[in-house]
Amino acid sequence: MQLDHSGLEILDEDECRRLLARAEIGRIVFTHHALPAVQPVNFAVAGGDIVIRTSRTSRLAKAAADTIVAFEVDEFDMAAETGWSVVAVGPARHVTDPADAAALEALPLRSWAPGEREYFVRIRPELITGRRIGARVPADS
Amino acid sequence: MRAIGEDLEILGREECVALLRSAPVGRVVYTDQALPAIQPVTFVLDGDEAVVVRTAPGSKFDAALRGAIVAFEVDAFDPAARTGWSVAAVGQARAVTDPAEAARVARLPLRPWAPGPRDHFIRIPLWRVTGRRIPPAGGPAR
Repeated sequence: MQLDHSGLEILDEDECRRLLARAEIGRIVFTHHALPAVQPVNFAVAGGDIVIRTSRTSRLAKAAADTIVAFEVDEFDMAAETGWSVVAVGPARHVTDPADAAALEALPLRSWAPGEREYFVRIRPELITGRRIGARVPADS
Repeated sequence: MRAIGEDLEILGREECVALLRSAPVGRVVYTDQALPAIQPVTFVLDGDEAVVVRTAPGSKFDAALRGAIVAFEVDAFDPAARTGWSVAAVGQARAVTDPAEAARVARLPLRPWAPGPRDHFIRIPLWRVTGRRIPPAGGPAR
């Protein structure tokens, strides 16, 4: 088990991708009106990319076009004071190819609320890091 | 699916601050080597004016936050009911350097989960606070 300088366990990329694929809600980090912005979204993973569905005119759609964003997922156990977080950084782009968009329609991306969500944003995780805090029993002990 | 935060119930500042107070873990959104970065932290509210977090002296996180305009986010979602809320604040993070102020914020109920010394305090004033809620399915969006 590898620890970082602050004593947190460093998660390897395979584990980060596994945790990312399992999560239902993530947070996209972008810049809005020159200020840092963060927005929770539900998402799916397709071909290693994070896929978000939004409306064409949303703040998110405007801000996440051809830019570098961060995307975070985490899970914490408040009673045990343990948890993990995974952050992916990479380019976000709108899906403009109709065949690609049609394929993404088949993803299990269900709306949590009513409204038109006809637009897909893809984030390619170029850099993916994760940390775990708190005790974990070794799997082979 | 929708991006949570669009066309949802808009929460007022008072409710946002109450939700901030209720959350045990938040996320600091900042810039690290010119890239967007986000890190979960334990935190405490200083009155209804600022978020206070503890950092390790000399850490990258500590250095990145000093004087920077950052966002701070908390949320809670219920995947089964498909409801939830999120609150985000924006402000200029500042290291607490005045000894009297440091002594005061050190008495706030804030205990980091992470091991090692975390005896620097960073204060993020709540310049702007916004919040959204997804109403329960079938319920009216106010």
